[in-house]
Amino acid sequence: MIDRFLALLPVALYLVSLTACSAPPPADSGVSAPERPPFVEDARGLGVEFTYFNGMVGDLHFAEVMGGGVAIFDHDGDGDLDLYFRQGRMLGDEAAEEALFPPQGPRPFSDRLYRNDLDRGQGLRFTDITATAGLGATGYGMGVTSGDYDGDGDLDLYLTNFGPNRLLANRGDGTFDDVTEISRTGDLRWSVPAVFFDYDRDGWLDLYIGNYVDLSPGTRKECRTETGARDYCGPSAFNGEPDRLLHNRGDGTFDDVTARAGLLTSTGPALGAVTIDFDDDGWLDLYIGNDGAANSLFRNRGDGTFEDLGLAAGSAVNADGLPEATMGIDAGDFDGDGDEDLFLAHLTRETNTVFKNLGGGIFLDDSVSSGLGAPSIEATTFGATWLDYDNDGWLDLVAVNGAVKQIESQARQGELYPLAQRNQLFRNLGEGRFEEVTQRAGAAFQAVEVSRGTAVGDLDNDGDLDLVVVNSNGPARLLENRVGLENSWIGFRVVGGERDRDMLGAWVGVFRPHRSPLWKRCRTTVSYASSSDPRVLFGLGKAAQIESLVVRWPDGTEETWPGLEAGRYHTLRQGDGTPRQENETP
Amino acid sequence: MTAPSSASYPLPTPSLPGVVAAVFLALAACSKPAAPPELVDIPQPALATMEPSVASLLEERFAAVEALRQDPDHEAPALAQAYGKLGQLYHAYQLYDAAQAAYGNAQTLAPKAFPWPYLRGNLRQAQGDLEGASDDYRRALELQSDDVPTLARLGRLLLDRGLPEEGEPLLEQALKLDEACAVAHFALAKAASSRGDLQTAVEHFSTALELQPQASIVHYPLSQAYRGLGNTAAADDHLARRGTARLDLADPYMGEVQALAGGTGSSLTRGGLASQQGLVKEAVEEYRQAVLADPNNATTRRDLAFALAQAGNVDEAMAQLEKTLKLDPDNPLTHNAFGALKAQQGRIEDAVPNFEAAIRADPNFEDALFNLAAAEVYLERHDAARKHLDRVLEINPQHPRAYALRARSLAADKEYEKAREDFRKALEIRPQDVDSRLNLAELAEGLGDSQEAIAEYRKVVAAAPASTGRAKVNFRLAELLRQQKDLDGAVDHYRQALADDPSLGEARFNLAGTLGLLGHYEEVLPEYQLLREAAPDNEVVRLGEATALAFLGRYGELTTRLEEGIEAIPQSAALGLLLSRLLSASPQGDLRDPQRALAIAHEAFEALPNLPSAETLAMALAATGQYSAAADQQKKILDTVGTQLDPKALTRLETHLRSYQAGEECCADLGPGGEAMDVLFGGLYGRS
Repeated sequence: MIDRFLALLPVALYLVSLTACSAPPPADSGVSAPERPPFVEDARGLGVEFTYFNGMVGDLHFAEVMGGGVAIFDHDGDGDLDLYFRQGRMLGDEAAEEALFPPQGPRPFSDRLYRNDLDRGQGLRFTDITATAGLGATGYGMGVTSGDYDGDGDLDLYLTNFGPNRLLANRGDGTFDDVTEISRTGDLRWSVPAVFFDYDRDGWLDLYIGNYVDLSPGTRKECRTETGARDYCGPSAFNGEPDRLLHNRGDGTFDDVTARAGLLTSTGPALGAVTIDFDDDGWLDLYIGNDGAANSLFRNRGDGTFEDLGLAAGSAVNADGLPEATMGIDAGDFDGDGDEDLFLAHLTRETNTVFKNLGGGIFLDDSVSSGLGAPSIEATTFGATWLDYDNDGWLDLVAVNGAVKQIESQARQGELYPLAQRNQLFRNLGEGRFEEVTQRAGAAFQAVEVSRGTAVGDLDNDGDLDLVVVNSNGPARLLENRVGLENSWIGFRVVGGERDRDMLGAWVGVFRPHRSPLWKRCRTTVSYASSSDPRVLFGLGKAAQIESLVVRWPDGTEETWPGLEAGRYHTLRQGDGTPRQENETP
Repeated sequence: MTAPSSASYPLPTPSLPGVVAAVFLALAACSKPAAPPELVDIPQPALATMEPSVASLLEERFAAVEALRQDPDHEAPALAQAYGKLGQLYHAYQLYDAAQAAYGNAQTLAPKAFPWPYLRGNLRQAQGDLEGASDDYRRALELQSDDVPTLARLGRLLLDRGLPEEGEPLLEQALKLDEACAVAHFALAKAASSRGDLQTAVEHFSTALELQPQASIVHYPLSQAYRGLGNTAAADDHLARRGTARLDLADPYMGEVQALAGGTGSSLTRGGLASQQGLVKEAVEEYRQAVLADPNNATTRRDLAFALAQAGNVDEAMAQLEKTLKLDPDNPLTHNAFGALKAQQGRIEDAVPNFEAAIRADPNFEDALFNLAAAEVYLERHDAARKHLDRVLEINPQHPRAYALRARSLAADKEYEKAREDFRKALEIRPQDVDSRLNLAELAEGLGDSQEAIAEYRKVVAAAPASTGRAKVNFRLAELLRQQKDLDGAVDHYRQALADDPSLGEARFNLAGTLGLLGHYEEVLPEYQLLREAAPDNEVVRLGEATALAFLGRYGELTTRLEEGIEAIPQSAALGLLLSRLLSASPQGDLRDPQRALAIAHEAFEALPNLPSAETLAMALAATGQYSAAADQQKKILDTVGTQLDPKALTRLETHLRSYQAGEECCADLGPGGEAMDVLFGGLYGRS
């Protein structure tokens, strides 16, 4: 698959260059002038050579279609973003050489940590430092999330696996300790999403673990197509596993409060999870995406318990009343009305779904009107995230795709892993509608691969959002943003506590002259199995400045800051702003 | 014909005579011959991986079409029909690329035939090619403008593409032609909903539901529309009725496609899907078809047996498994299933050999090992059971049920601490296992670990639905909390128990008692009232109610209740004594009736001369002014049992004796809530 991509790449670039050199079309031709591709892919050139190895040997093991995620986070506190990739392994007792896609990269298989050397004055460049960082998790990797659970000012990692999960505590010097046992955060089941968030406002990040299905080693399932041919099973062939909520005691240990919090009913096959304050009451709620079962919208009652309002709020199933196969999810204010809307990634023949927050705790399936539904029906989207890639102030969307059932034409051509699809990019037109810009998004979006996790972050600290995409049995992609700087921007690291802990869950509003405010939440868990930059970055369009900004902290208090300089990152410390009264306009 | 392994069949090159003949024929037909229609190759699916019956079917049909195509005398309409039918067959088996090519050839050969663009539209829609599907449907409508399924499908598809201005007129047209087209109503409702016209949406959704009440899918969007209109009651009603049964669209062409998917493999797949979705009847029918098509296929027959068992038809399931074992005598899956069904029928001993056979065939067969262990636990062969469970856990250390079963086995052998550890492990892996959690709670309670018991009971009540005996668990939890002096917690759980099961009398009685301990006497009374109404002759209930009334100072009501109690339970000495004491010494003077009190006390004392009746008699004597007699009576009591009394009772008796000796009656100066209550009731029952 790598060879195929490399073979295609020069051709694609050649075609692009031909188009670019040809004369512009007549004004009335209906054809737009060629645009600069928004992203350029160059993972290998930047030092990132990672291939997710799924260990498939041809027995169509369900776990091998799922793939893994990536974390974009500053592991060593040097101010630039590093990359942590989850890795798979063999699923059975066979030798790795028996895998249909022999493993790439260093042995033994383990997750990989790539240090960003931006601060060393060499531009964007990554170095594999897995061994020196004391890492090397060797489970069958699925998801990853980052958060400063011990409040010491650096980001720790929680790793979900097809097998036992792990909590890695950042020592602060770029190395990590496995503290799973001592912290009591282990989970033996097949987990995919995990979310750090402070649900009870005690100042410590708690942990929600989304579990998928019971695929214990002795489970015997053979799934078939209509013709009786073997194919991958879907989640409905197995029992869903219950999720868990772990309460951070503040002493390095966690308590399982799943039952006490009223979450034992959360037994759907979870693949996506995101924090959201959907009812704007200041308490962080949770949205859980289940694969083939109704999704859950757990409203935080503020007393340590949750209630599932998914169905009543119109966000559990699609407009037809049918549950869909939700994989990656993200929350963001795509329509600029000051509340968080949801995007859900789904299977081929289902549309991806947009739930527009109407206020009052009600959502509307806006997939059709937004223009995000119909173009997704041929794709199986795993990773998906809102990002304002052109910094025009409106959230755009990237969807990374790859099937889970064999694609007829690829199987016929003898592909061993016939699940490859093209990723998609959608631009927000600013009126609640999107246009698909995949075709003109450059070579990075023309590759046909089996994409799974994706995460966003400003890797080169230049003020626009870059992308990392994990491919199953194929090379990871690093998409560097080349158009964001055509507009103005401002970014924030939002911290609190004695040691400047990233305040996951903080809700940041930027007020602009003569425009509605922009809102973003500080969060890491987004998309599928992945963790993004906890900083928040706002595109400001052509505006050169902001009037003021507001932070609603996870403890419910609010502070304001006067206008800050655009075109750079600022650190917002809890307590440094001016306390804001309720409903006061800054 | 052997199964092709290449990606596609090349179209065969016609033999030279055939070419020559065709040229001459064409020349003869007209001077400017029409070009032969361009047909495309049919991409051949990988037959080798399919069920043999399906592969053969597809191979035969393809060969027949090819044979017709090569026949120099073939007519285009006939070949078009053959390609179309072949397309339908591929379509039925979801071989989309092949189906699309076949439909395309059919359309090329018969451009005026309606079915082929229509079916290709369906196919493309299923593949997600909405634009291509729209084109096909439009082509079909050019050929047959009044076809309701096409209008409905295209209309809905255009709505899905965000083109309501094009889709809605087609749906309206479909309704003009067939006002009972529920699919069109549903689509129009969704369109109205999208543009915020919720009233119109409700009307269309409701009509669709009236036309097809079984289509439970409609309830959810209808509920959302009602919610948007502020009609919460209707919204909640429809939300509760939501389901996944879809609307039917009368569609003969797609009906043909669905009917074609009748081969073994397809039946197996559909059977499997139906089974996974809980549609057991459908699953049975699909598997029956598969067995009919391939009666000697052991796998198919076993799947039928599984579906039959799922449908509750255990006898036939077992018959099918027996046949399966004849076809494949050593199959571990079949043995395991056979054993499981026997066990389900209570034939545990009979099931053991099947499980053992399954394990012989596959020593690592986790399910069979577990089932054998379960049978052995039932048969109280605990050592053997635990040996097999150890093996299960060796194979799969994450097997929660194996831990739970081993825990039960250990508990049966009185190895409680080990059992507790296993329950904990089971729950660590599968926290929603309410049974194990309940067992762990009971075990912890039995071991005297109230804290763990309380914690686990709490989780059980948080997780268990009301129908699963949650009331009793709440009751146990409340009892434990009461023992731990957490009276508020106890009250809470007594109440939860009663909310689930209002007939749980013991919970209500102890709730009343606990509320009394907390001093919440007003809340106590309704509980006792319910208990009294349920059991009018229960003396303890009436005494409890009387206590609460006394503590509240509601002496008039207390008198009435005691009178009613004595009438309902004439043999109750306790109620008589209470009434006598009240009539003697009620703080509410107008309720006193010393003569009646004395009569009752005399009667009680003669019937059963004991401390309470003797003390009551003394009290009544004093109330009637017979202080000397009262003092004598009290002195007799002290002489007889004084040395056996607890200090508090002794003090009381002596105090009252001094009162009587001083010519004073007992207790009249004591108000409610104080020592009077001890006098009235304490000597008999104590405050609680």
